[in-house]
Amino acid sequence: MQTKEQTIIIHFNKGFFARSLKLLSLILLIGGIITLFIIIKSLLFTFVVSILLAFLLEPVVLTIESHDIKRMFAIFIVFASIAAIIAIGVFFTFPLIKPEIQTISSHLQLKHPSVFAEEFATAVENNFPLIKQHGFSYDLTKYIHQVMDDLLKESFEIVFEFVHFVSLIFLVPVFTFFLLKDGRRLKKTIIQFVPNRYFEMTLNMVYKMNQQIGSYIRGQLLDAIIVGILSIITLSLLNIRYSFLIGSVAGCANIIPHFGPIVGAVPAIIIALMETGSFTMALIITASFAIIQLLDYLFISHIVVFKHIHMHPLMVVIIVFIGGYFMGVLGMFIAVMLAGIIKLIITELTWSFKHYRIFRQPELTPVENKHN
Amino acid sequence: MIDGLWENIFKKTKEENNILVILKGVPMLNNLSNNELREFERIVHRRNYKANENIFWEGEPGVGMYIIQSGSVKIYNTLPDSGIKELAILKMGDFFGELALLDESPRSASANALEACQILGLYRPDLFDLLERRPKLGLKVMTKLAQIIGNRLRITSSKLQSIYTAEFYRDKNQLKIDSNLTPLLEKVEVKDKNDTLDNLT
Repeated sequence: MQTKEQTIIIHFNKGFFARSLKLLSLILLIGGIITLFIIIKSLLFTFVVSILLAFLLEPVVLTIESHDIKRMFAIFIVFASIAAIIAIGVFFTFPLIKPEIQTISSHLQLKHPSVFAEEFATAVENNFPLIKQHGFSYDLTKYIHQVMDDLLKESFEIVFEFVHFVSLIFLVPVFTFFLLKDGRRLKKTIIQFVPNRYFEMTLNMVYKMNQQIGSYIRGQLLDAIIVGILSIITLSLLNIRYSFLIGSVAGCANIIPHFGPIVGAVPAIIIALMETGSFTMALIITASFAIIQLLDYLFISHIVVFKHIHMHPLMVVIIVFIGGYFMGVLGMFIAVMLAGIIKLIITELTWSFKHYRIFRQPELTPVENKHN
Repeated sequence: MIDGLWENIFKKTKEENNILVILKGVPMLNNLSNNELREFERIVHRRNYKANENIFWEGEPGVGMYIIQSGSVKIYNTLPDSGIKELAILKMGDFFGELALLDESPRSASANALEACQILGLYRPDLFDLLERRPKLGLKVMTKLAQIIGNRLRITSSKLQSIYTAEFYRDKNQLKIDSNLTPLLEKVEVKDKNDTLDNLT
């Protein structure tokens, strides 16, 4: 009896060490990956964009694959078609956008800050003589000087952003390709390490999350594209300058709940006011944007299979700021999407907590070993 | 230690053939070609269970079906007085939990490994994914599954019918009236293995 007990204790210890070693190495691995991503922030960014793209393209690849075409070829077909669409799109729309870009760059001609500040000050003084008497113009010149200096400093950062952007353009397709090609195998390999006790639950949860996240991402991006196209059409019909750029901004902004539609409409209204100076035009634009939002609410979100996630407006503001702080303008949109995904994950987790006994009081198995 | 390591490496190729053979033995998959079976081999998860480890519990949402590669598994119900009612003991090549391939309804019994087991898990999410990718293959498998389940339903309803008629004649002969069907159901003898599987999943 004595010896039997001893062997059991040794066995238990061995198992315990093996388990803690496994757990430790897992924690180290995850920690390592996270640190790597934090150090190489752009890599994280690229990765996130690739994941979003992979989710967006997955149903297309699946449809092609279901016609008995190998997945590899299906992915190639999708990539080739996207390349073709982009090429055709650039070929046809560039003549339309070209004047927009030219006018913008001519308006943004770099002048020396002090020259610009003085010009601005004299313009203000000429228009509002009252200011001159109070000596505001001097303060104003100084202030503008300061602002322009800061802008110059930031322009160097913009150059870095550009390098970043170029690397993104090359890396994202590569990442997306491999995520589409090996995503399933990768998932299977990772899930294999889940202990038996949690295996069914994990598998089920991963599947559900995958579906919900996919539907959410696809819904958001498709919705943004449709709203963007509608805005571009409306603005060009109204003969507003920069209609393409403003429409695109409005489409992207649509991803942000509650505030996006308003933020998207503001640039259009400002440009219209600057161009025509009439408030009727601003009103027309506001009305047409409202109609687009109404269409979006009534029809588009029903056509596009949509996973709607409610987020509190305050939460949205915080998330947008955090995203903007870490990853710039694009980060704002990605942060909102990530927040939606996290919310979905939490919902799924709570469902599992309720339905699987693992998280409740563990009950005795039929022939429970009395020695342990 | 080293011996074990080498053994495992050489075992692998044998094991893969083994998986195909075992998959071929499952009624749901037995009309598939080898190429089609390979698709299933790709989505099947190989799991190892220790003796006395539970594979799933009664009442939990079902996720998929299991095919025993080696070892034996006990299927049982937990009774209200925390006792156990054994339903079946399954051996190599047997499968259980196949109803979970259709929906997420709770498991009607628990499964417990009687010894160290190697079990193949075929899970609903993976199956559905395969259906989307290879609709023709999916149609074959799902039709077969529907036939199997339809057959079971027929057997179950004919059993129920015989119980009802037995009770009807008993009523007529002025014997003791027993309105509760469950004790009668228990008396119905299990004739072959397919019948036992009625109670499972």
